[in-house]
Order: sequence, then C-alpha cells, then structure tokens
Amino acid sequence: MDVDELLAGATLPDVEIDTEAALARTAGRWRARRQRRLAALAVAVVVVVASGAIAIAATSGRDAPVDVHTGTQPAPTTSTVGSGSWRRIAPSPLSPRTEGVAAWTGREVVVVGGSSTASAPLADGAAYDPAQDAWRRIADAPAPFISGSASWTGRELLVAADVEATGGTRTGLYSYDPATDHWKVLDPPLVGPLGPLPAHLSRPVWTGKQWVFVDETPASAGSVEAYDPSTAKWAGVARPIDGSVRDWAVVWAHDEMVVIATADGQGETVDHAGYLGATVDIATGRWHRLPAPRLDDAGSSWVGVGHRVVNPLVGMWDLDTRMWEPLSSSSPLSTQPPHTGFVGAVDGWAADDTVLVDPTSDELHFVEPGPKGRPSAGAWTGHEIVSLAGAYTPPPRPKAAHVLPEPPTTTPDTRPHRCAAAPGSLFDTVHEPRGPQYEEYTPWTDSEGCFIRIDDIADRPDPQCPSVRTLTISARIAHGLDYPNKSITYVRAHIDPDAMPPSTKFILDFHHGEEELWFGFGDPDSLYVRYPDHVELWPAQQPPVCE
Amino acid sequence: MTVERLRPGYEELFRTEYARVVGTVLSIVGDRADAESVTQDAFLKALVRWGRISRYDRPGAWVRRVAIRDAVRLAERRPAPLDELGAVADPIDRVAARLDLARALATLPARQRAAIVLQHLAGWPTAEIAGALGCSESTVRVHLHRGRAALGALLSDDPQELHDGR
Repeated sequence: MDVDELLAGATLPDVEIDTEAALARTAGRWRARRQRRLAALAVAVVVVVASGAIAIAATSGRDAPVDVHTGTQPAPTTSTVGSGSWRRIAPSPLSPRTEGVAAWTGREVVVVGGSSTASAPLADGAAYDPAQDAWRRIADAPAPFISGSASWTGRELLVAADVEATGGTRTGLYSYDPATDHWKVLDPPLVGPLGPLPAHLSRPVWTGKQWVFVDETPASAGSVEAYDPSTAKWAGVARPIDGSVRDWAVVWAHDEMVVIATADGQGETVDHAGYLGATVDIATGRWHRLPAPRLDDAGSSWVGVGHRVVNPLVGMWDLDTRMWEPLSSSSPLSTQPPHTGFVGAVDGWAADDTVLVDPTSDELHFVEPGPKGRPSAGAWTGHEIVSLAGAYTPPPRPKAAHVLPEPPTTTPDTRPHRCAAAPGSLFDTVHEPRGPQYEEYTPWTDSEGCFIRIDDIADRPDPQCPSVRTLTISARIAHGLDYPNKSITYVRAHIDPDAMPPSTKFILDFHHGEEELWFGFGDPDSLYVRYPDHVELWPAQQPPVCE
Repeated sequence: MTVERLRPGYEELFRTEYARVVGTVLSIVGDRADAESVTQDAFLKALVRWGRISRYDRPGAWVRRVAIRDAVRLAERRPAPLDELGAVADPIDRVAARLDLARALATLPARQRAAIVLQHLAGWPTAEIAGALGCSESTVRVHLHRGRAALGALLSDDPQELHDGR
C-alpha cells in the first residue's frame, strides 16, 4: 500500500457525541466564568451631587414600576397573589409560534406576528380577554414579522416590527386600533423625494406621550427620534450619542429614558466589550453618561423597575445614585423552553423570560416550567403574564431579608476639574521612570493586560497662559505593540465633559483605579480621560486659549 | 434565559459543528478526552465573543480555526504515542501502523499530522489550513510534503525485515 492509497478515501473518525450534553456543559462553563468575573469586578461608587441633594433609594415605598411595553402602570396588586404558577388558558385561534409581539390594552392581551414552526414570519394576530378566558381574531398586520415590540398608548397599539426586506431587515412602524380592528402604516423618520426611506430603529419606549427610538440607520446612527401619535409627526430629540454603535437598547425608568449600547472594539486584536449607558432628557435633548460596567456578554435585556435599570443577568444602574451595582447571583442558562416570553417590570420584579430578579433584595427567582407549547411574546396584565403558552403568575417578592447596602456617603467630589490637578488626582501618581525592563510593575494596565510605562506625566500651567493646563505624557507601550516612544502634550483649555470616546478611534485604554486613560492615535490625536461619572476630552497640541 | 435567546444562532452552530470539530481534533491529538476538551474550549471562546463572531460570514470557520490551533499546540507539547516507533521498532506495532491510518498519523510531528488531517481527511483548502496553523500556504505545502514522505517511509519497510528484528 502506498501513501496515496492510504489517504485516498480517508475520512475523519466517526465520533459518537452527546451534543446536547456538550452544549449544556459549555453553557455551564460560561455561567461559571461570568460568576467569577462578577466576583472580581470592582464597582465604581460615585455619588453625584445634584442641586445639593442626593436621592438615596429606599428599599420600600418605591414608585410602582412602569411597564416598558405598555407605558402604563399595572393595576396595583398585593404581593400575595400566590407562588409562581401557571394556568392554562383557552386555546388561541392562532397557529403555534414563537416570538411576535404582545401588549396589554387594559382589557385584552393582543398577540401579533411571530415565527411559525417553519420559521416563517407571520402577520396574523388575536386578542385574549382574561375576564372571559376567550380569544378573538384580529386583522392581520400590514406585513409579517418575527419579532418587534408593542406599546399601548391608551388608545392604540404602536408596533415596531423587524420586517424582512430586500437588502436586510428594516423597522416597520404600524398602529392598531382595537376599536375598529384596523391597522395603519406609519411613516418612518426619514422620507425622501421618492417616499419613505427604510428605517432601522432600536426597540422603542413609550413615554406616555411619545414613542422614542434610537436611530440605527448608518447615516444618523445614535440620534434619538420621537414619534408623536397625536400629530403623526417625528422630531429629533437628541444628537447622536455615539454614531459608531449600532445596537441600542432603550428603557423607560420612572421618568427617565436610558439608552444602553454595546461597544465593541475594532478588529480581532482589540476587544473591549462593555456597555455605554446614558440618560436622555427628552425635554432638552441632553444626555449624560452613566458609569459603564466593563462586562463581557451581559445579554441584551434591560428592564426599568422604579428608579433602576436592570440587566437581569449581571446588575443594574441606580438612577438616583448613578451607581452601577452588580447582582450577587447571575441567572443560569437553561436549555428548557418554554417560558413567559416577557421582558419587563412585573410587580417589582425585573422579568426576563425565564428569570425574575428583585432589584431591591438582589433575589433571583427562576420561572417555573410552563405548560407544553411554544411561547409567543407575553404581556403583563397587572396580575399575570399572558402568552400563547398560558398565564403565569409570579410569586410575591421576598421580604427584604437581604438588603443591598446603602451607598456610602462620601464627600462630594470637589476636584477642580477645570483648571488644576488636585492631589490624588489622575496625574500625580506616576512620575518616576521605572526600570528599563517593561515587566516591572506600573499601575497603568489595559483590559488586555498590556501596560504602559509612563516616563513622565506633567500637568502644569502653560507658561504663556496660566489659566490653561497642559498635560505632557512621555510613554512607552509594551506587550508586543510596536508604538514608538510617545511624548504628547494635551491642552486642557477645551474640555468636553460630555465627550464620548469614539470606539472606532481609540487604540489603547489604560486603567488606574477607577480612572481610565484612552489614547487615540488617530487623526487628530486626542486623549480621553474617563472618570466614573464623566469623560474629558483633551485635544492634543491645540494652541491654548487664554481666558 | 436560554443560550439561544441570549446568543441567537449559537446553539445551531454548536449542533452543526461540534461533532465534526471533535473528529478533526481527535485525528490531531489522538486522545478522545483531549479532543473534547479542546473543542469545548474553542466553542466556549466563541460563546464569550459571540457578539462579534456572529457577525462573521462563517462563524463556524472561526471555531474550527481556534480548535485546530489549540489542538496543534497540545499535540506539540505531548509526544505522539508511537513517536518512538523508529527506535523501538516493535514489529507488530509497525505493521499495525501501516494498516491503521490513525496510528500512522500519530507517528508524524504535530504540524505535519495536522496538515495531512486537514487536507486529506477534512478536505480543507490550503489557505484555510494556513489560517488554522498560523503559517503561510507555502509552509503548509512543506508540511504536507514532509508528512506524506514520512508516511511513505513508514509504508516502505519490509515486513519480513521487521520480523527479523531490524
């Protein structure tokens, strides 16, 4: 036998594998990995003093959560409706499906669209009356869709659907009037000379008056747009928060709109996954950054519960304190359908399909297995979550046996950011040159373990213009990155405190405690200093402006 | 929240690719437990990075590449079970190797073994093998040539000479 004969017809060994078990093991390892990371995560604690007062969240007596899907407060319930339980409801006239959208109108749960058993998008829908335990068919939506969101305005259902179109998915915008059983197609934000332009929008929030989205269309990505159903008109709300980001989540928490995006680095060698969070003032269009947790893979479900924006997997922002608080336990990964199909606030819980998180006590509750059948999207009626799979009543929230500690009171940050570097600030810690070996410890490290040897940082007044601070950094960067010694002078005359480091431009970020130093080696060179509560942009080598 | 809900498309990738990757890796590392461990690690890395990898044209290719690279590293650290064959010259083992491709491949250095496995057993193009091994296509061709030559030398031994203890 020769080699050719040996190799001819050779195949890979036929390996008998329990793929499902392997998938479950991989998921378990992923969960364990995230739990370890959360345990090691340093929480940036900043208390922002605003108007001389800090609203410290109490553990009881919170405002009733707003259902992010309906924009209404659910009917008050005592929390003794029973343990988590399912009840079967009358079979719907709809074919089996997953996803779609669902919303509570105050009288009926409307379920529309979804994915058929053959993974085809659907347009039909039905409405369920819990009082009668009865369904009725409704008119088909203008286009079939698999997923989207629905918001009840009090008079009509606004649906933002992911509609398949030539060239990709676009956002179809529709309104449905249950009284007339009639659908209407809504114009998108942009209408060109030949008609409406395809819209690519985030999931929206209903504020009670406006239907607000983050625009993900490449030309206007990151800008915030609002639709007013009373006038059928669109208006821009806020300028782009970060035009390089495409995937936005939007949450309405009490009386604030919060936008969250995942920021990825560029290329295979830089991967700084994390989250950008910001509150948007609908009235003024101003947005303010929230301290962004540096997390890997926290999932995309965010729920507004009272004054908190909760990611049921990892943690929450407290909008009163502007703190990020990690949850002490992360939800498990389950491969067991079906579940409620609902993401939103439920009687004080942050609900995310298979899990309920109580943000005040940090308790986690796993949704009990439901009746057989594929769950569609679900809607919270104020008493139960209703979907095609049935009606789920959540358990009462636990008493606050485990209370998150109150944020420590700290003296307000009185660092004069604008003109001088106070002791203990960013720039007075590393002055002395380290040894010639890059392996020696320096306090500046980036998320990949790279470190920067800073030869000199000098923050001093410009000799020509004492009111202007200049920052000179002389640094060498190791860890296989071939950057020459860099000596840069940054001028602190033009500080943009609301700066957003463009994820497309920065190359390296270095941490020192809670502060971050982001070098942009693009054009122009800029330095971003990211404090827990704001970001400063230091333009490079700009001529100082004397004030 | 299921993996699929959090990471749409991941479970489908896993179910489609996992067994095949295990088979490929097994041909390189020679040990079933190692093969599953390396493959699981590669899929775990993909899960962690799914937000980025899911946007690639071929997420499965990324996983395969990572798995192969890790497999080769593992194989390089451990001698192949029959590496000592030439010196020890157990006649029965050499005969067995001639008839058993897996044992024959196990006599090759890790990169030659990987190149042979990927091209002849898995049907990969040279460019993709180069990507997985982290080398140039011409280097891949060198590995293939030397691997085939080594297999040819193994097969050219006269079985009668083996019985005589040579």
